[in-house]
Amino acid sequence: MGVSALLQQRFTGAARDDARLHARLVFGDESAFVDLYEQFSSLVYTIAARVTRDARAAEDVTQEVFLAVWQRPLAFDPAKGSLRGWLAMMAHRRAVDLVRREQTHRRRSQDARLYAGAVSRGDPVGDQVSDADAAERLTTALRALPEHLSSAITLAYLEGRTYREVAIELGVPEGTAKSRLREGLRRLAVALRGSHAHDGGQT
Amino acid sequence: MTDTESHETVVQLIGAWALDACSPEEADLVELHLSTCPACAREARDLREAAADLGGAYLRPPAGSLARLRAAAAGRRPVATETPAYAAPYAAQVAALDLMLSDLDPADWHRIAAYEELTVRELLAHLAAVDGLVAAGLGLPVEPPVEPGQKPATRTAAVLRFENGRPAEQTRRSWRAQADAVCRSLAAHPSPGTVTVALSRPFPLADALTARAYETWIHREDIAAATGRTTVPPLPEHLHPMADLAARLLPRVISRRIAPPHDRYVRLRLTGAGGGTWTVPLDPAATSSATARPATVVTLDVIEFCRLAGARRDPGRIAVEVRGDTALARQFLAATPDMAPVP
Repeated sequence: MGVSALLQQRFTGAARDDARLHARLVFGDESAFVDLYEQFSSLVYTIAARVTRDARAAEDVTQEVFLAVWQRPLAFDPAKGSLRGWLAMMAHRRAVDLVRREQTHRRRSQDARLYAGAVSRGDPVGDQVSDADAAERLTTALRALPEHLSSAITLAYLEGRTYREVAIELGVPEGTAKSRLREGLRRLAVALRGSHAHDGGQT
Repeated sequence: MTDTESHETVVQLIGAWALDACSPEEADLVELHLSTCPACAREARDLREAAADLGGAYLRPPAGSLARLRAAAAGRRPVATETPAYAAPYAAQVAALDLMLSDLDPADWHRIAAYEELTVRELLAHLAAVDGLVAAGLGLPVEPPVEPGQKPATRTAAVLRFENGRPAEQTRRSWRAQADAVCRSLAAHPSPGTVTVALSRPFPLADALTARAYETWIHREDIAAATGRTTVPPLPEHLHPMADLAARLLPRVISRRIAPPHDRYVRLRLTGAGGGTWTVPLDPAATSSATARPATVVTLDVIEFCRLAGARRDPGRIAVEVRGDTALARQFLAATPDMAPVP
């Protein structure tokens, strides 16, 4: 059985829960919105905070993500993955967009300090997600990866770098950066399957 | 680029895509390919799920974040109006239809959605017309006013004349406002009791609202089909009273279509969440009896049964399992869509 089939099996129960929560959102049930928030706000906020390293930006991203789900719940396609995966993707995309826009601003501005406000360093969340702390917080699965794979993934996902920037940073060809990102994620998908099988499917 | 070239390029990019580490142009290329390549779509899905775990979930948004979010959400999209439990299916269907309508393009409103002649906008006016009979029955002001003894068909014609030429958005707003007013006024009837409202004939209030939920759902599916939108079936706890209403109304309808003797019963076993078992007498005067020995047992999916009773399925082609008198079962299924116009 392939990774997909095993994930499929493991996600059947979760897919049922997702389908119900999603349907309740479609039917305008405000308590479903609160349930969604209780279940996923930590996931969404942590991703946003780690990528932006800014408490206000992280809260803005969190608000945008949940409002988007409430306003357009039918944009969720269960065939493309879980509710959890969809929310994480929206949070990550928005956070990365914010960081990249900010970098563009800084590059274009004469005085970078004038534009450094929106995504700043040294605030409480920035401290919470300092590099040392982040390394500590890396999921067991990510730490279990060989260093050349985990460093590529960490740069791309948590630092919001493109694969081209990852290639430059690591001093490898772009093709190598791309294949490291794919290989690393594939191994994580396998490990995810293992850990879910081990803990009886609880996340 | 050929499919093979595109596949080769996308396979290289798929890990970077799942981490949002591509250029926007590359991301578009990947997503276009995923819609046509099941193997890549599977891999994309697995890699995305793995990426979701990378951030961990150990920080909490600041206090007050949820309260701010709830206030903002209500401004983006109205919540389903609060009602007593018996009207919750109606409030839910209204919210879901309104959500779909909020996403329509101007051209979508003019697509034919039902009965080979009603456009989306006209179908909504038809829903508003029959909802208006419930509203009037509850003593609410409705526009145009309901004539004494007005039936759904004449009411629909009157509302279509009234709505003709108004912008679709206005039809949508007045339909939603009337539905919300109905829901709010039900607070005065926490249990439906003996109140009746006149539709095609007098209906107990709870049944009238279940019928409105049912029709709103069926037409939501009509509009989804006409405009290429996705739909979500009713929640099981909302589906159950709809199936129950259909099962209770069936004897009146099918006795006209099924040859005597009428002292027989059909056991209807509806499978899936929200389903259940009903014993349907062929004689409308007989009481339904769970212990009666049925002449035939008909088993089918509860959602499909509701669509059949809404005249949205072909009785000859619906997936069904029959035990006992198969001729009677066939007659029963063939007669079921006749109840669609009843409430």
